[in-house]
Amino acid sequence: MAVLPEVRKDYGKIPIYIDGKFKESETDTWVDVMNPAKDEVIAKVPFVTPEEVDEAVEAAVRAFDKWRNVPVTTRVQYLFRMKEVLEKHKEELARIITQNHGKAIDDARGEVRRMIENVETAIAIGYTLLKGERLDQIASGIDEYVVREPLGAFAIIGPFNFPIMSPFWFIPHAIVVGDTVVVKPSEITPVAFYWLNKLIHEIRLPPGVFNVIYGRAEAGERLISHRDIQGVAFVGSTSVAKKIYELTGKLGKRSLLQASAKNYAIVMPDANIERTIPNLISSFYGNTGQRCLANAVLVPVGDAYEKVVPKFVEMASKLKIGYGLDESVELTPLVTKKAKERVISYINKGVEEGAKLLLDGRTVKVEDYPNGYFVGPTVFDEVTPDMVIAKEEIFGPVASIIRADSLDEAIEMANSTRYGNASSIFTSSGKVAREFRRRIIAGNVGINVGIAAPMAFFPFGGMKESFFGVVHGQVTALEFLTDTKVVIERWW
Amino acid sequence: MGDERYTFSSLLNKMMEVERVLHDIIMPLVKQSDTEVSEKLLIFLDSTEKRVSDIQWVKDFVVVEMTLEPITGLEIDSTLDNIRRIVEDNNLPLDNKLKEIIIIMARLYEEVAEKLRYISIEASDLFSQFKADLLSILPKA
Repeated sequence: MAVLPEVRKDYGKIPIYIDGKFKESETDTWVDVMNPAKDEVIAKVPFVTPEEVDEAVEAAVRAFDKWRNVPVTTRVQYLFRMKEVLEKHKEELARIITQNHGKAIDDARGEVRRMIENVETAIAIGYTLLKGERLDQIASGIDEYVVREPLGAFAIIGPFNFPIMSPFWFIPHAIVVGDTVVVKPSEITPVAFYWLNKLIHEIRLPPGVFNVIYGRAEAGERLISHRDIQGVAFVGSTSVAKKIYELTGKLGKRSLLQASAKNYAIVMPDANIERTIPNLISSFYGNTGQRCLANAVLVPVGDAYEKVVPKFVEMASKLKIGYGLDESVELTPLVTKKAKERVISYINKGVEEGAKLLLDGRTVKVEDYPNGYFVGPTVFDEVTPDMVIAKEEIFGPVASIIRADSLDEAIEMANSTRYGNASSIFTSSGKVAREFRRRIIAGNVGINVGIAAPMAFFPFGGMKESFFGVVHGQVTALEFLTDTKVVIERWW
Repeated sequence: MGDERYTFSSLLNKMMEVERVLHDIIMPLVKQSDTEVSEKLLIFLDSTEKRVSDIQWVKDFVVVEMTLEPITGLEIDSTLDNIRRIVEDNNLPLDNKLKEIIIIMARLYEEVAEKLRYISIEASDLFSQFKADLLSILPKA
């Protein structure tokens, strides 16, 4: 099958965006941005200077005073324009995501669609949820009501695996409630966000409402620590989330931090095997396992093992591996060479720990892309819950199988991990599904659904060390990005 | 079952290709006949590009919610080979050839619709509609 054309071969030096203007960073540190299928440089990203971080925050703060006074009906119009321009360019955004991140084009299209859904949801918020509450005559001649108010400039720090979708769990919401933002997208996969930035520039938001900088931990820390940043929304690893949580706690700022995962998929003996297997394959190997909602541990209960495992391994072994711009490709490269090495080291660790390798992806060769960061589908059997591969987030195409004798045992195992991002069960029994739903400690629960991805108009869940904060991203970001003022009013 | 594997997009690409191939294979046959079936089939073939465009539309429109479930169990290539064999079979009367091709293609549409049912109801409905349109060509039993 033909490979779809890339939007560009080379995107050059990625500019930062401050106060409504693109400009080249004055930093001396420019880092190569790669196409992971080809091991080719496709852009250079700056690690901004501390002064540029401050400049971005100052622009956001200046803009806030005016932006919060722009009527909500006008703020919503900007989002309608945003939706229009994103719809028009959705295919090129998807192709750039694939070119830079590596994921299969259908996956990238799904990411763009979900990003746009967040814009739609923010529009709905502007017209509905932002209204607050009111009750007349709470006492004689006295009314009481709640108004939601924006807070100021927020920092939004995005992950590499969903480079444009995850920041959009917060950006349109911030814009519609009257806040302003400084976004630090992933420095590993910045190209699609840069392209998106160009599109957002077209909608002519007032300068300073939306600002973009790039960098690593130093830039993030400076951004969060800036006294005028009201809070930080972050999607990434638990180790970084914990540091941000501590820092924002110390500084008395809000934080909403979606973090790592180790998701269990429990398959009961009564599951619809024909429907379950492809769904599991998509969950374990879609986006090469680099989703926080990907299942990583497969738990067949009782004789589900014989029904599921051979078919799962067979289907995994046949996944077509290659460049994500080929629409027939199912398994794509890992995002960086380092990520590939990391995943391979986990596979080596699993072998050392005594797990049985049913499918080994370490030496996979992809003919047309010999330099790509590919790891083939990997399946470990005879894994035990105490093994490193059962506990740590591998973020690669590696499935670990742990057998369980009962639903109780399976739930206990799934709940014993430090993470609580997602978990799925496959069964034909409503009773079993209900039991699972009530007892599992996970923020996103799939019942006969391998990737329990909440739509934009629901919150994106997360429990235990998969989430730090109080309210979650997507629709409930409204609460994170505003404060309520309760007014008790009487007129003589 | 064959070894064909598709993603959502690659299956729809394949079905667009099938529409055009089918058009090219059957059109010469249809033009040799003037029965009611062949006349109706001609109308169906004349709307090949409309079907291609409908498939393309659903491909662009549908939200493939983060799913890349492998689609297996279809035998599209062998279905096309089968149609080619029927076209080339000199022992079969022309009208019978057309009827047989209609039945085979309708079955393929049905299988594709079934496979897509859990991925995209819009795409599934489209192929169910193609099947219904095609079967309506055949005289009522």
